[in-house]
Amino acid sequence: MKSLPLIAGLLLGSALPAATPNFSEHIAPIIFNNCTTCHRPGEAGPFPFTSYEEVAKRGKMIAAITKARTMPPWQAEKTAYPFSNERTLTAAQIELIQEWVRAGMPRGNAASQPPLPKFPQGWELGKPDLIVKMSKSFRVPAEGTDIYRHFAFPIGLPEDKWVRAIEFRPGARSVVHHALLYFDTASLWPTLDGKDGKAGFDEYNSPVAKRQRVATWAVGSNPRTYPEGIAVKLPKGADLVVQTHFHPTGKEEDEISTVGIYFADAPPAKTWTELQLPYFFGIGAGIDIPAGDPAYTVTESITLPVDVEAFAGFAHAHFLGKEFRLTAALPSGQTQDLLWVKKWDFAWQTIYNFQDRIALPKGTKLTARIVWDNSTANSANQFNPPRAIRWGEASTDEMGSITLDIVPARETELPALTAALRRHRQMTDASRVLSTDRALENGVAGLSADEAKLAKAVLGFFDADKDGKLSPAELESARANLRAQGFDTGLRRSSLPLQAASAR
Amino acid sequence: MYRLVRIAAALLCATLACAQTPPAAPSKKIALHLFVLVDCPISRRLAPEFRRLCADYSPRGVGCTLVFVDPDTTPQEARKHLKEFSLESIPFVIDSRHELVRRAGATVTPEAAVLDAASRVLYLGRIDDSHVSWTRSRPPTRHDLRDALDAALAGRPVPRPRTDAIGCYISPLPDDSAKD
Ligand code: HEC
Repeated sequence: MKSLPLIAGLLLGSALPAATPNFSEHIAPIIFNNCTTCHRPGEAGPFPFTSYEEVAKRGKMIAAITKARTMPPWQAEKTAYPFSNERTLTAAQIELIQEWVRAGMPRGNAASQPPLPKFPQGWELGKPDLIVKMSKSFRVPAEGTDIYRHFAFPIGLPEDKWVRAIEFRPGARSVVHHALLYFDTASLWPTLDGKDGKAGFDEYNSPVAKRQRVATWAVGSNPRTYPEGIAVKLPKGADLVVQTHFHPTGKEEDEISTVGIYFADAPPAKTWTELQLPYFFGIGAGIDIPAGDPAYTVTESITLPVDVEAFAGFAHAHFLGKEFRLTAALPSGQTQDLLWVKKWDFAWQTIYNFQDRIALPKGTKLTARIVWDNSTANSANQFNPPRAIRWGEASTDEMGSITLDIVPARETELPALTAALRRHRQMTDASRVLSTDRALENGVAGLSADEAKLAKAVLGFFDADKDGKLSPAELESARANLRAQGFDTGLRRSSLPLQAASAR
Repeated sequence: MYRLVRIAAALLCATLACAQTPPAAPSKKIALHLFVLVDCPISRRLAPEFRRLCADYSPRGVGCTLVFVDPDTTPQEARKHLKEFSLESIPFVIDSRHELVRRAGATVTPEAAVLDAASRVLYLGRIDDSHVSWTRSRPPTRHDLRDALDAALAGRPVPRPRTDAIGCYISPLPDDSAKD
């Protein structure tokens, strides 16, 4: 029996130290490489882990939180496509931490403790070509529900530029949870900014076509650097709009964020395109979650019209999100997971960068499946008893989508790709309209201006006899057509009014 | 026993840190110890509730004390923390030898203990149910500590005398754990 651990030790090599683990040799490398990037002075982690004393003091806590896999924060399951920014501990590392804490956290020989990794100071990629900063601070109250707030950073360059990297730097690190960055050409913000007496504005209804998401920042993120040969356009006159998510900390905090932008010398060889299922965080998908529903599900598919390459994925929902899964049914007949977040946690919104670009040939069918839990079993549910929740931009509304950052394999096929994505958005809207109880039997009569706009677009596709309304036969064939494309046209709970989704 | 707490607190005060006002003024029949850490996120997030609790219950005869459980916390750091989180009106003590921690059996921050005049622990546990895990919180629906205080003041048994608090574990004192 005595030889068992020895054999295990031999089999597992250095993963299992023969003797009791100690800080210098075994624990410091794990903590310094997986935790200290956030847990050091000036970063978002609540306490530093830069020395034996600092780590040993929290030993019990570290053991519990790593065992629960709450830290380091990382949500995606392993798939066939590894991520370059993956942050997880191995089971052996977690066990080593437990053993060390059980053994009373011995220090070992201080001389063999590795030095701290070199962490960047200031701008990680050097001085940016352009720095923009909030001109007024935004005050986050001491407590209350999370806040989503938009801030505009005027840029307005006289010509188009290409951006190769972008870095977001929050001022009050502990209160900023994540941020979505857009280049915006709609310029609607000056009419909204500061209107409620506070810096920024709550909702931003600029059209989808006029804003390009350029980066997502979350606690512990590196600057967003696009892969070699990819850059995003900062159009002439465009401004930066940032949606920031704040999580109150117990005291008032004043946030002033700064953004650094790095330009590329030349336009990219391939154009970054965003494929979102369902589009615009599900605005057109009719998200309407009954109170108490433990598994409200939206499924949406798209078939790729050309060969593409995927380089990053991103999942987004609010408190009720539960599971996200994006699969690719390849023309070869094989099906692969691209992104699978089994246990969504609103607190951590990470961009998942693929280590290598994933080739997705023409004809690949991508399917996103998103599940929300609006029961009391969801410990993040902000309402008890639960309430029916619909799509909306406030943190207590819901959203949900999976985004895949892609480029066409051949730049000449970009127009075909964008046209297909646009058509897909229109079909999403159509399926939404046709799954309500007023499915345009009377045309646009009685609809609001917003709804009429949406309805007209739908009629444009399916009103074969051009009489301005859908006959029962037209309606049936439209629904069949949409179902064939993988859309759900079953009657939903919520009927009109519809948000002017296609206008986005 | 109650005297002992006061003496212990007074001793701590004399040797180390000190509460601006002595903890648990003698007229109070119920003591509330709020165990906190300056850098524990949940302990920080509940600061506004600590303030409300003490404002609501001090006039009713509850002696509130914030108990800093990390022996390395200096009085300056504690005062800075109280100022930042607007908790200056609450007496505090730095429990360098974990006397109050041990007496109540506290294991986590934030955690609350309600003690009677004989220093019996009537309640130990969470402030409320707002925190469900380290990263998840929502508006509270159960106010266990308030329920306990109400019962204690009315001389009724506390309905749920023990609840699990979510937060940062209280580390044992270095001399209890350091082995080489
Ligand atoms: C991506 C950045 C990041 C990394 C990497 C990270 N942490 Fe954290 N950690 C945080 C943040 C931010 C918080 C504060 C959460 C909050 O405010 O609720 C935190 C909180 C904690 C807490 C306190 C939990 C609480 O809410 O009371 C512990 C303990 C902890 N981390 C340990 C670790 C350990 C151990 C590792 C490495 C194995 C690690 N962290 C890696 C960002 C990080």
